Amino acid sequence: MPPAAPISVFVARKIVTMNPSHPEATHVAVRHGRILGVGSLDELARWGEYRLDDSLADKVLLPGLVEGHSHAVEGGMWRYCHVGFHDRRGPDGKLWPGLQSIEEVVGRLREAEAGLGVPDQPLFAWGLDPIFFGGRRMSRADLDQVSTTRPVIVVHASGHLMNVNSVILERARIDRSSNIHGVLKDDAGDPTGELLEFAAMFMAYRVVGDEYLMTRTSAEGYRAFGRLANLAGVTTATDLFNDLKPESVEHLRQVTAAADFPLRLLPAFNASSAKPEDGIAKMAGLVPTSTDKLRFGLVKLMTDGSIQGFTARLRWPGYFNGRPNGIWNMAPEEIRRYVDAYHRAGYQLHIHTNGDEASEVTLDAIEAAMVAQPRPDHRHTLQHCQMADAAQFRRMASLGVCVNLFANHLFYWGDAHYSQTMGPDRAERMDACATALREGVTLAMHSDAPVTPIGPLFTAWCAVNRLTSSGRLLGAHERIAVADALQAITLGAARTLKLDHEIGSIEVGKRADFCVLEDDPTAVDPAGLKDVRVWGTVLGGRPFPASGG
Amino acid sequence: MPQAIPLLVLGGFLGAGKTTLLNRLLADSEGARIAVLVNDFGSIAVDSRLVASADADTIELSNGCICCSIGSSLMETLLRLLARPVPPERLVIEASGVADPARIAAIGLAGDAFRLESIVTVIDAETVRCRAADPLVGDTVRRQIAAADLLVLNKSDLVEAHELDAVRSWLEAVAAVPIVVTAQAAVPPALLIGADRLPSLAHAATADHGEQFGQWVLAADRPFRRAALAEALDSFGSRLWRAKGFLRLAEQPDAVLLLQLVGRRWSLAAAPAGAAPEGVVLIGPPQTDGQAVIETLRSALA
Ligand SMILES: [Zn+2]
Ligand SMILES: [Zn+2]
Repeated sequence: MPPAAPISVFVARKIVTMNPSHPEATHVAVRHGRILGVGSLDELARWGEYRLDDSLADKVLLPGLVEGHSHAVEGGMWRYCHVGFHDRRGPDGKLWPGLQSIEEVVGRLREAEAGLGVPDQPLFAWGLDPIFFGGRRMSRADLDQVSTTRPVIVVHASGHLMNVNSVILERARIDRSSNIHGVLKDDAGDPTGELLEFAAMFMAYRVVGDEYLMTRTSAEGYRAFGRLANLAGVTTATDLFNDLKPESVEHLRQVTAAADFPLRLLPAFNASSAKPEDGIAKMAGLVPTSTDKLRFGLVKLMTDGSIQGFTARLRWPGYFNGRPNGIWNMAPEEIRRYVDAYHRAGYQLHIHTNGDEASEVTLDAIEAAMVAQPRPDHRHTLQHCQMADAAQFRRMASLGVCVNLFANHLFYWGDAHYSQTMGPDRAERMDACATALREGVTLAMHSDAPVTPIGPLFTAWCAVNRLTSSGRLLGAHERIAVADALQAITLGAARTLKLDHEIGSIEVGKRADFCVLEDDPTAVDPAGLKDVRVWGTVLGGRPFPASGG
Repeated sequence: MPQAIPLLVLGGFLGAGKTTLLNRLLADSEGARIAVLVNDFGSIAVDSRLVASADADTIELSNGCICCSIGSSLMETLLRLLARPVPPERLVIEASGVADPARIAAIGLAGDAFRLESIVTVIDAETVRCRAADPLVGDTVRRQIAAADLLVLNKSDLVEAHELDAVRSWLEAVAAVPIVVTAQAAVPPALLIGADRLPSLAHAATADHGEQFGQWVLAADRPFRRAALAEALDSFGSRLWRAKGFLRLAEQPDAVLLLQLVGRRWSLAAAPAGAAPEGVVLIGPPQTDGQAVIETLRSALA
């Protein structure tokens, strides 16, 4: 027998374990990347010789945070200039302060423009959210201040519209005589440079090519995503919508195999990219090739659109401002067919349902699949599920369905939900974390990065405080306790990924994955949860300081 | 500047017969370079042998996240098609069974890359009324019907004659567009694609197509009055399926223009060099009074 691997013992100011039978400790012993014991140094020393690591002695350890719904494309977007309203950190750790006016956006774009080489190279930027600019819209004149010779494209946070400068308008031959749906014009009849929806945006992409669309799923993008996760204290994250084409699988393998990649990544297969039988065959081939940092097995379905885009499928009484019901991304009969096929084949489904009609159809489909083929502990998970009411949560509980709620929405779009999409009553029970817990549903919550930044402590803050970006308290009775929120971003999320036997708490036998904090989230004022400082992570016993160390 | 690529968008709910129709188009494409984008993974596959023999290619689109555009492959696919050394002569996009084809067709109305020729929605005669009344998908089905320039009422062989009549009058009431009734999606391809596929005037005047469709010719070398022509074309409703012609307008007598019509959508564009203003070929349901259509058009002459 080979000699047992050496033991490292980490000492910390406090270890919050999320294990109710041993909730706190000061030391954790690690062997082979796994947790050998949790307790005092005295207790752990009984295992034999060890090396004491006191580099985290003044930190607070949590189980490595788990982001159950994110998209790795966020990594690739940081090649380009970010112009969002809220502060956001890039993969290099650099803080991009939020921009509070169009002038500030133009200022940042001019800086970025000055850094570009080739004179004709397009300038791309992303994350613009003009709803915060008091009604003022960006115009071509603003972007012409950035450049009158190089194409400039600024994509909005929603992804459904963009602003462009005059160079693009001219090259795309868009002028006052164009009568094109989605090309906005000013009072004088000239295009403003704002392009809405697919066709108008296509005209702009035609000028600059597909580079911006393609580079987002490169190997470098996955690496950058790993760094973003590390900065947020995340050790396990999903890439919750991936066609798993051979070249992206190859990128995933390459990137996650590197010892210095600080993340366990779970790509979820986009089931609608193939017939069920082909998708199931593909999964059967991929699952056995999983490694400890790359896990195949999750399957993603998309049922409807988004609430703020008025494309989510709603039950009565529909949208507050009277807009027609949204659109299906898959027909209800297709949802039933795909759920049944993947359920039978033994896979775990993660199903995007924003509106409550989409959630209802999905629950019906899962129930029918379970009647046809009983299967214990399937843990199919509704993703977003923002409008579920108590009765739907009760159905989830009795069907064994988990939920991953989009708590960040409360802050980012809560005001719009209150005034336009849902109206006060339903807005106050959106992303109903308290109801989910009360009804006994396994709860996770998420960022949907890049839609909002990855950062489970911020997500927990949203669920605990339920404050919108204007400061409105949205649904006091749906607030949850800090302890419950911390559970949802660790063990709760791990349960929705069927990994709670491996990660999600600091206890014997699990992987030595820790979120390392400067402050104690259980001791700070709950209003300050989002400001708890992240030192970095430990993954499989190896420290990954966010500073790069 | 390269010519805009003609675009046909095929819409219709799951199982209506879109893929069968696509296969028929490809089988009859006579070597044209057709790019076909398919969005559905239904029970019938696009026949790869047909695709190969027709010098066409099929690209499968994967469904993107419509809430955040993540994974949407349509934009990338279209950009790559245009970047090819030899771009396709024609583009057919099969919308997904729940998509609103008008949203996709918008690319054929914006810019000069693609030119929307028509939106054709395929209807399942057996199930459409039931689906249109369904609380979950009724609005989706009605949007698909409303978006169409031409409706293909398919699977007519699976319903009784009186049922077919009922479906037909219901469709006429909800959408004022021409309807082609068919079984097994057996629509003459000339009805759907390519003005270049319509018979020449000389051939059209002599051809006999029996029961399948009626074909009429207005030979005229006099110019039309623009407003009167527009009014005439808009007045045909369900009486006309397709038209093609080379003509002049009194308002710009020096230019020869190409007229194209599919269902309720028509356009006038500069004719290829050398075309003579010889008149218009019209195709419609066999029961249309062709003489009346021709007279209406004739009254628009200057
Ligand atoms: Zn989603
Ligand atoms: Zn998502």
